[in-house]
Amino acid sequence: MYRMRGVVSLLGAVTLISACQPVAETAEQAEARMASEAAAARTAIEASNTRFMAHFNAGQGDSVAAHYADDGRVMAPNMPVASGRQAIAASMGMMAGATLVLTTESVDANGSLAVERGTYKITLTPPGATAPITDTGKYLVHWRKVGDNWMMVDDIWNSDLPAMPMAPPAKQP
Amino acid sequence: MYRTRGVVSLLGVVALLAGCQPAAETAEQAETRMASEALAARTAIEAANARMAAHMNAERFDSAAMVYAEDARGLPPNMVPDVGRAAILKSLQGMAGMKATIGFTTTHVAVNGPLAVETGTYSFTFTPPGAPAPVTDTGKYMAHWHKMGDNWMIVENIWNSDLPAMPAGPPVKQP
Repeated sequence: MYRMRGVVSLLGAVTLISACQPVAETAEQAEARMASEAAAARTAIEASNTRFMAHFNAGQGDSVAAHYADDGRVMAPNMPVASGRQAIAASMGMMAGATLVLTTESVDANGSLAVERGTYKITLTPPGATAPITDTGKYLVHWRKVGDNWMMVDDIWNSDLPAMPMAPPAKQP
Repeated sequence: MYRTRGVVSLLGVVALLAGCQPAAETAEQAETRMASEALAARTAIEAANARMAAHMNAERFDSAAMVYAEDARGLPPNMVPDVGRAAILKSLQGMAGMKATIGFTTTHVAVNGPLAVETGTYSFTFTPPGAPAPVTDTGKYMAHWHKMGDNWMIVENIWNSDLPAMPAGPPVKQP
């Protein structure tokens, strides 16, 4: 009788242990979790962008660069990639006096990885120009959650405006 | 004695149940898993890029567009976004007759489950209409991928040139 009770207890324990193995998340559960994470990430990213714009518009290059991860990369049009915060801070020097507005359109997130798509409007006066010009375009940013903060890892954009017509070839002497 | 045994058994069951709750993944475990996922995704993404480049170079634009999700967005320079695979296909068809040769080189892939971000470089040689010789553009891109079933599909794709912007031409003469 005692032996049978022991066998029953053992079977019960085995059943319990096997029943409580971590269950793989279903596709629907993953989708719901990611939608919730994307909503939270979007709030944090929009707040970060607000601070970024304030720093950018005040010409605070070091503070702007602090929004990027240590290994962050800025992929600006018509120039090679700026890798790392130091290179990013240096590249911001060219934007002195600019006014930037970022508008987030979508955020996709899973855990510590997020992708943001948005639009920008920047107004600046190029060196030697007499009046400011305004450019509008779109961007993608790859974000990584580091501790409690979302940091930019890759940042790329391009203009919506038509390319300038090519200048005629220079006259040969 | 029996009562004591019963209590001990009950405590054992409670301990078992409490002890076997799925533990949350630690940051280190997540990092290891994501690194492993990134390796597998990179292989698949590089293969998808090679197929897309082959299709584009052969002007099989319908096939090239199939790497994009149905609701994907193409974000080309100097144009407004192409929203949806049909709009992306229309843009790709604009390359017809340009004898284009395009190549992609993946530089980084970050993955978490069905979400991936790829950065890379491109080289694009083509002959614009009326031009006497081909021109080559080089630049960088970011692609946002989703795993749909067994396949990785592009949901957003943006790029820009590394080459200096062209100097502006003279103002157009007014009649």
